Amino acid sequence: MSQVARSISDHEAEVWAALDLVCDPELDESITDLGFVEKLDIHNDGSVDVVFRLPTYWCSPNFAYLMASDICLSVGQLDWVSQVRPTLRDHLFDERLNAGVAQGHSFRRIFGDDANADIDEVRSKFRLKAFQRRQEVVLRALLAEGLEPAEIITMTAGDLEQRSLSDKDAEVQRHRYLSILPAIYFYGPFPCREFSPVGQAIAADAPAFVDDEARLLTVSGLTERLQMLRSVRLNMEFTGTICRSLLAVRDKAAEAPGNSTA
Amino acid sequence: MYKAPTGEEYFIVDGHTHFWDASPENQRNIHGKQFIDCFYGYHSALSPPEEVWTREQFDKYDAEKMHQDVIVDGHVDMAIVQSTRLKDFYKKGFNTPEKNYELVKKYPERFIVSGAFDPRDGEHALEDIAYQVEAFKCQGMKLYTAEWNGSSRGWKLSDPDAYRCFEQCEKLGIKNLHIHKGPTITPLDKDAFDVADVDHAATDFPNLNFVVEHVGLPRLDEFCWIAVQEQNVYAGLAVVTAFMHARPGYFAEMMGELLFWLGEDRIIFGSDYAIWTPRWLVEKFAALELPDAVKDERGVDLTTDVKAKILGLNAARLYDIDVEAKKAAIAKL
Repeated sequence: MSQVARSISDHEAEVWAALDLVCDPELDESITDLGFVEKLDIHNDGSVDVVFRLPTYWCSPNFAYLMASDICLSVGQLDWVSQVRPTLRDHLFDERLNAGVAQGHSFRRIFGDDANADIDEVRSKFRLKAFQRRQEVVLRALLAEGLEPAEIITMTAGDLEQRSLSDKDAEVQRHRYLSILPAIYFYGPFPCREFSPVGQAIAADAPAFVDDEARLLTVSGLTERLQMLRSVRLNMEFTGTICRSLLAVRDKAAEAPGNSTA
Repeated sequence: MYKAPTGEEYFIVDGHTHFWDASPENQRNIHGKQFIDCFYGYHSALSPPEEVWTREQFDKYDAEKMHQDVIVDGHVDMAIVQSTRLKDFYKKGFNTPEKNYELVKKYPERFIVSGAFDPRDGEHALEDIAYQVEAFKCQGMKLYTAEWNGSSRGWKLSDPDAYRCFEQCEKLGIKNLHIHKGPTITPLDKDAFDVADVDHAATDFPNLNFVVEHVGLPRLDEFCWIAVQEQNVYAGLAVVTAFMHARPGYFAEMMGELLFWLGEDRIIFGSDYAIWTPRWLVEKFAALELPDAVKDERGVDLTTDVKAKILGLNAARLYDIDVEAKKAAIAKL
């Protein structure tokens, strides 16, 4: 393999790794796992094209915007990248969104009067849901491993760092939970404008499990909290199932001979 | 009537069906094509493989086919046919009350039309409601709060114009409002299907029943919170039932959740025909047993009596259907 080819494939791997960190806000799952990213092109001038599509033509544009702008932010953190151009395909608003994101426009500027939503509010709302979702998986895994509620609520972030979980999914979520926990401590459930809380750390002796307002959980409150977290999970599983199934159908239709949804 | 292999008999009311024309000839623009594409996606993604239709069948079907699928093969005794006009996407509309009424004319014992109105039409909306009650014997209304209208990108049940329409419904004897609160789709606003507005309207109109279709998913937590407080709020199971094939464990957990928060009297079965055909849904639902983990954690159960309520008796109560009289009338057909 030539030097150039090797560096391109290294770059490609770096871009994919950066894209792994971009989540569908509603599902809290990576857009690469979900199969949203169709194509990458890395150019000699250090610019990167990322082509992505969503499960339907109607998917909510505020989520599409968040994913497009997170693609820019995440891939843009690579030091050799000069420019990131996300391109959404097969969507009601693809042209409008692509042009707006390319010019660095805000959601409000792109959609004007069509959108009353405050995008930061949307972002913070779904960050909170991601926190809740990850917390539930970790709490249930700890209970399943035989920990008593009193032990769980007194665990510190440092304790949780040390405690690996035997369930594979839960272990993944443990890391993801620890990475989102600082956001709840620093911002609470209110607007958090940063792309990622990376770089901000909480003390190792900070409680590992807090509620949405970063307050301590109590033993009696734990059951109630788990009940609430269960609904959040059921919501996400619902949307996740629908999204995955619809995307699979869409891909199949696009592959069918003589058929193109492009 | 559906008689399960184990002997139980159920009177079935399908609370959510459609009679649409989405054929290319009727599509006004690309949105019309994409809209039915999306429905077909739901259909083919979640149906058991042997229940998947061809795209041509799915685009348009006639009254005989719907009667066959829903009533004859589908075990359903009575079905509520929901209206959604969508004239911006379809030249003659998607499933208009006019079209739905064809079913009532042909099969008067079997179908009830649920109409549609848009409170942003002001005075015209009030006349529209009166017209539909008169012309199509509507006993319910389907409301779609995310629909665009001129420069408006959606409306809320708590809007003053909506309240005037609700007063009109009460005056004309309409008791049941089916509110589409479902997966997040266009239009733009995150709140277009937010469920909070149900709370206000349900408090202020205690004599109306608010059937929240698709149980507000993916806002189940918010929906349950409201439904606990408002006794006239109901859970419409359309779309949720379709998970019985692809994700049975998920469906069982969802039933456990709804039984825990709302109880057995406020859950309404719906197939969302023709997105899904009722036969397999009814059969699977009647055969369903909640796993012990779901039962124990929530202290609920899905017994034969509870199933009978969800599959038909709850909706019969909302629509003033005298079940014994109806059974007798059907037996004579």
